[in-house]
Amino acid sequence: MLKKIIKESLETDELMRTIRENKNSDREKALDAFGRIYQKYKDNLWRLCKKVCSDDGNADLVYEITWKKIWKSPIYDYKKYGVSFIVWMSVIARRAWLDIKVKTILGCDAELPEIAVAPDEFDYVETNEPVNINETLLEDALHQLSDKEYDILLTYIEYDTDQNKHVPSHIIEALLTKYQTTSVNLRKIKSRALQKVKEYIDRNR
Amino acid sequence: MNKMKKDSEMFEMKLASALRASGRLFPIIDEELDYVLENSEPMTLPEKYQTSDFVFKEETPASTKKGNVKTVDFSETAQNWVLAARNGKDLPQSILNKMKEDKKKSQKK
Repeated sequence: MLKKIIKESLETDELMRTIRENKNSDREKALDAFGRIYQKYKDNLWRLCKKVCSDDGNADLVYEITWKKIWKSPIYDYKKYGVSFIVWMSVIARRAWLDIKVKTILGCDAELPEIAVAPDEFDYVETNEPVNINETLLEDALHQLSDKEYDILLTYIEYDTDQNKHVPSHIIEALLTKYQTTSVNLRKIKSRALQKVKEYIDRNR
Repeated sequence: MNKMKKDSEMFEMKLASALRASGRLFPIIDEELDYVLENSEPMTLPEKYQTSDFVFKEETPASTKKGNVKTVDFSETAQNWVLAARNGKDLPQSILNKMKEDKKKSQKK
């Protein structure tokens, strides 16, 4: 599967170049290349969006924003980023989802950023260890958490992934307002939630 | 203390990766994405997304979008309302002078 993904990414590289080179001069040609990429990846991106956004019902919006961003900034380059095209799309979708989440779930009033630049955020990619998870154990461990703990832990984890390694202040503000707590308590809740999950996994491994 | 902190950080990294690989968060590396796709059922794409047409639907320059264009109503009724707002009087000389000055200024530009 992985080899297939990489092979496809190299083919997509060519199509992306066609879009970049022709978008302003030969729109038909660029549209054709975009259409071919779309047909190739639409199902997988949809699966991802549905899977991640199943709880908050934003799959449609994330899916649309992602494709619009790709058309607007067709900057994908396999040699430059070193990740497959579908991962690149996933990172764009992640950004879109975070933007929407800030507004709809955390209730932050800030305007959503304009659909603009595709992400250039692959510096933080961690060591590629083989993924080895026990789905049931993870599910059970997360069930130990209250909704509040789950929400705070996931928000922290999601933003800690970013290069700057900290949760942006407006997100902290939104969490503080939502849960009527202090920033010190917020960090405590996050640490406690993490500890709960760890202990459960250690106990039941 | 440091070891505990390091353990906790390591665990957090692994948990983050597991959350991404299980499709609770968006994957950011090939291995996580591979895992999600291998372990999730295919889903039917809605009809509206069968082609990429939706991408170009709102690709109109901002200046030509509806709502950005202000229209001026020159109807007789509207002009009558303007006149009524001045109590039926003509514009005072001072305002007329100011308007002339403004016109000259804009012509100079």
